[in-house]
Amino acid sequence: MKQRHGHGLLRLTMGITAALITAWSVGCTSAPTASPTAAPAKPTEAAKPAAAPATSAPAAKPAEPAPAAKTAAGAPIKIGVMHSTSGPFVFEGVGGNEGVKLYWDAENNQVAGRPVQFIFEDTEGKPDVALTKVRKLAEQDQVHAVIGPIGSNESLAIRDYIHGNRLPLVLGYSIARELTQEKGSPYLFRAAGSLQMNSAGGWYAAKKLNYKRAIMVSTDYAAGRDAAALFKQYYEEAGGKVSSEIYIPLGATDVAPYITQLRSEIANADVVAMPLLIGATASQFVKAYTEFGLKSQVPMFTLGVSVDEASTLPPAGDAGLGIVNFNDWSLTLDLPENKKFVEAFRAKYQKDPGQHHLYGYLEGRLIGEALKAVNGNAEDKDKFAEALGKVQFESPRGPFKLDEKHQAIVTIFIRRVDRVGNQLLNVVIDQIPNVDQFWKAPQ
Amino acid sequence: MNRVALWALPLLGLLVVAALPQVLPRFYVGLLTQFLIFGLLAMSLDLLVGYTGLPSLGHAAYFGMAAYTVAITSKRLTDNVWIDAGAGLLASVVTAAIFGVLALRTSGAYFLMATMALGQVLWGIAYRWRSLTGGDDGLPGINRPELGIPFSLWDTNNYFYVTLLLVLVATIVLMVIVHSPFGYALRGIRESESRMRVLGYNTWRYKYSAFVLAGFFAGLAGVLFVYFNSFVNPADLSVVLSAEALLMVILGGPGTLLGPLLGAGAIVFLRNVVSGYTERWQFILGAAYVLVVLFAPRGVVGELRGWMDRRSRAAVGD
Amino acid sequence: MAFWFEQALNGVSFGMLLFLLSAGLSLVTGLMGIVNMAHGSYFLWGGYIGLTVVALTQNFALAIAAAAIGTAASGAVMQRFFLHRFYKQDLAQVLMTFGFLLIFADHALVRYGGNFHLIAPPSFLERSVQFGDIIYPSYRLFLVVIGLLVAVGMWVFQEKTRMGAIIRAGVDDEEMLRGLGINVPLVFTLVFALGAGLAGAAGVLGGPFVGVGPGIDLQVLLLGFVVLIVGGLGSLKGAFVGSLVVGLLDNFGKALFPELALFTIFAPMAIILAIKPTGLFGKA
Repeated sequence: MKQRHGHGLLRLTMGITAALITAWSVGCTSAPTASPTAAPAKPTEAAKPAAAPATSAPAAKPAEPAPAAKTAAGAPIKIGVMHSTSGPFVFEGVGGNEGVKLYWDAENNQVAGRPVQFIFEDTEGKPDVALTKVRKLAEQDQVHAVIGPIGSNESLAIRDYIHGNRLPLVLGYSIARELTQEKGSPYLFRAAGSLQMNSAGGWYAAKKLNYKRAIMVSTDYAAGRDAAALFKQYYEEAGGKVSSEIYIPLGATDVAPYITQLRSEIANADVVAMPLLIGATASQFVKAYTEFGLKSQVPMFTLGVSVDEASTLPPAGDAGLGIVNFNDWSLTLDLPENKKFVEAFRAKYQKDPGQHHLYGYLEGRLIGEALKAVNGNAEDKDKFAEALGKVQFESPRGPFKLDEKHQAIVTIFIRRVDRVGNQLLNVVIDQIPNVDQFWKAPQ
Repeated sequence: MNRVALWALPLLGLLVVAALPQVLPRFYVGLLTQFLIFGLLAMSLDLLVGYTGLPSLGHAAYFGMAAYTVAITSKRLTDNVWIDAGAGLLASVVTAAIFGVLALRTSGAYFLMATMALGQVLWGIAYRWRSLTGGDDGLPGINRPELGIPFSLWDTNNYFYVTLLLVLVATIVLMVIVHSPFGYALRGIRESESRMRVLGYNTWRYKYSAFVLAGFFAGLAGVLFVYFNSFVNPADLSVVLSAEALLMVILGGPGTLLGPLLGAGAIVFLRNVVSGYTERWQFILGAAYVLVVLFAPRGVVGELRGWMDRRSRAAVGD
Repeated sequence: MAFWFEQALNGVSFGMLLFLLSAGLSLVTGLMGIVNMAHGSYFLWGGYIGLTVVALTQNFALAIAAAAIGTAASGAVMQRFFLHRFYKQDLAQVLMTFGFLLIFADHALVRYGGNFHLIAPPSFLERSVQFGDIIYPSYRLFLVVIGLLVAVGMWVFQEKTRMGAIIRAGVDDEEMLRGLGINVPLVFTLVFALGAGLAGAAGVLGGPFVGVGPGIDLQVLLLGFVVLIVGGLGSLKGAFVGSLVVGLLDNFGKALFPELALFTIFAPMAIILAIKPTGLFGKA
């Protein structure tokens, strides 16, 4: 028995080695199999941050011939959508897809006479999967642009790839600061308010609300800590003092230990600030904060995502009443564009839109407006990217505009959870216009 | 006839796989590379699960440990691939050597949970030690090695062939191991550890060796993976990946080596191809698991082997 | 002092929820050797059933009953028609139950969407109680009472009833049961249904503060496994003590070493297993 296996193994080894060498030699001679329809500059295979832009730079001449565009006049423009529909961001992902469809269905999925085709890919909220999926969209489906993933870590993972391959990427949800700063790219655009919301929030808490000592509660992941750091910086520059910081891990099943911790420190504070408390944890926290009797002692001041009408507020219910918060949009915002958006959304989906729907809508619309500007010529990547950076329109949250690093400049709305009729709604009580990612607080 | 088929099939499969990059688009070559890498991870786990009877739910720890070590050394110390990859392999072996001492005190379901807990501790460190590991953002921008050879590893096809060669060598070594006296001793332990002990085997030493060996090959897969993706993050050593590796093994057939390889292929395919057509692909994956158990409880390759054995036995009986 | 008392209350009340979740898991694993990856799915589905019933009737007790019956029934079906055929094939069981986990999760997503929900507790438990400086939600105290009642009930069931004796005997030596002419398959199905029903009830009872939404199934499954391993397989006492230990460790760990919050469960578990390889109360 053993004997026979030994022989078989030997033969197998030899046979396989021979086969491999054959395949290898064939492979080496005919290695570059890039399809002829690919962009003039051969895309580098993966993240090669330094080399890739250098090799592709010559192609960025304004006089770049666009033969593909002519032949593709009636051919569909393909857009990849990488919102995860399973995993930790399923809520945002499913809602984001609804937002994208809201815009594009209204446009009949076409622009400048060309049909627009969407390819939805599930990244599961995992950076590795996001990387594989963006390769698939670029190389297999040959998409003209990608609407990006939800998680900051996913977007950071694919950043080098889209940069190296000059593939326009439009983000809405990923809030990591560096994506539009040191990790910025001519091909990367962020349609929604990033951490700059916390700059304005921190400043407002100290200057306008006169909170002098704050306890910060945020989520224990990279973006949650960055959000807290930014809030703290602007808060303390404006004269406040952060007395302690509490970080709750993602997916903490029970928040009670943190509430008790908070109680032991609350005598030192006149506000509990939540720079980035998200998802289930936010609802649990707001509710427990009331049930443990802390709400009557010290008010909360939070990023809008923790008391969002479409997600985090309904589970918390009345515990959310009266919470003042800051955000780049509000359902109740009294703007004609917002009313149109809300009405259209209600008509299509029979429910109220939330912030995650708006972000999907803005992602979709940013691409749509840019495609209109280039008259549907998505093949000229650099013109398309340039147009993306210049897009301006009246959006549901006010004038839409990106800064030179492609981060949206937003108005921060200060809101309060009120009971309107039998509904809990965020009513806008103040606003801070023109907040960009390098925002300078007024003195 | 069957004996020939047993060898001819994998050989044919290998030839097909080796030839595929010549006809497939680039993205699918990338998927094939992933399939090989996760296949190696699954095969290394099979050494524990299928041959030794130790169901580990923490096998991603060694995969991720190697990946992180390569990422950190290549970004901070040197871009010498031999040092980086060597450090990665060493890190996974050392991790396995330490975890093995702790986990092998337990058995059965307790072993499953102990390996999971140990793996989660590593995950916590990777998540938490942000200055070193980048936290949940991970470490991007790891360059593929320059080997001083005329073709670049940045080319998808070239990297595929390097992976194929290494995975092939690893597979052959694993085959030699499981068909050696050592491998038969592991099977003996799986069937009845007490009997092996009575026969004078130091069973702990065998299990420990298998544990560390499995860690080494998982580490090799991790090294290949980090260079492939140019990126590492905590998910690469989380219980989710460990569970996935275990499912690949069971799906393909524990104790068959090639089965787990195919299991890995099936999961990579479902995740990346089927998910493009339906949002309900998690449902399809779940249904596939249930159906495989219903119709092939020993895994796909396990059932195939059983069927072929029965046939040959029937033929002899006639 | 108040701080410690409050943290202990947090730990005990969370531990009681863990007990409801893991008591059944422990029996099933101990008696049948099934590592049920779908156990958290009963919690998830129990939560959704409870949510629906509360929304329709505002009756919390009815919601618990509906969730328990619904999940028990689906557990019985799963055991009788699927798992039963693969008795003692633990790897096949892992694959199959993991498949069910994915199917249940995806079905819940289609049916209930991605939103997170908290279930409204009965109105008399919505208020908080005050002792000293501490204001504490009465619901969590109620949960402690429920947990203790279930623990006592299960203890009586296991120690004083014929069925309990059969189960105890089965955990020790399942061959013997067959020898005694007991309908073992029926016993297995009933125990499995009981475990699933308890987890389903736990889904409702956890609803007011843990909540229900995508991903909760895996979260509680991991916690359940930890309890099982710390306490030891197949022992009710183990599940009870294990739940309290895990609940308290998690609370005090997070309070005292916030930087190590990710390790407060798994590191102690690894240490316990290294010292006592069959858990605190498990048999070798």
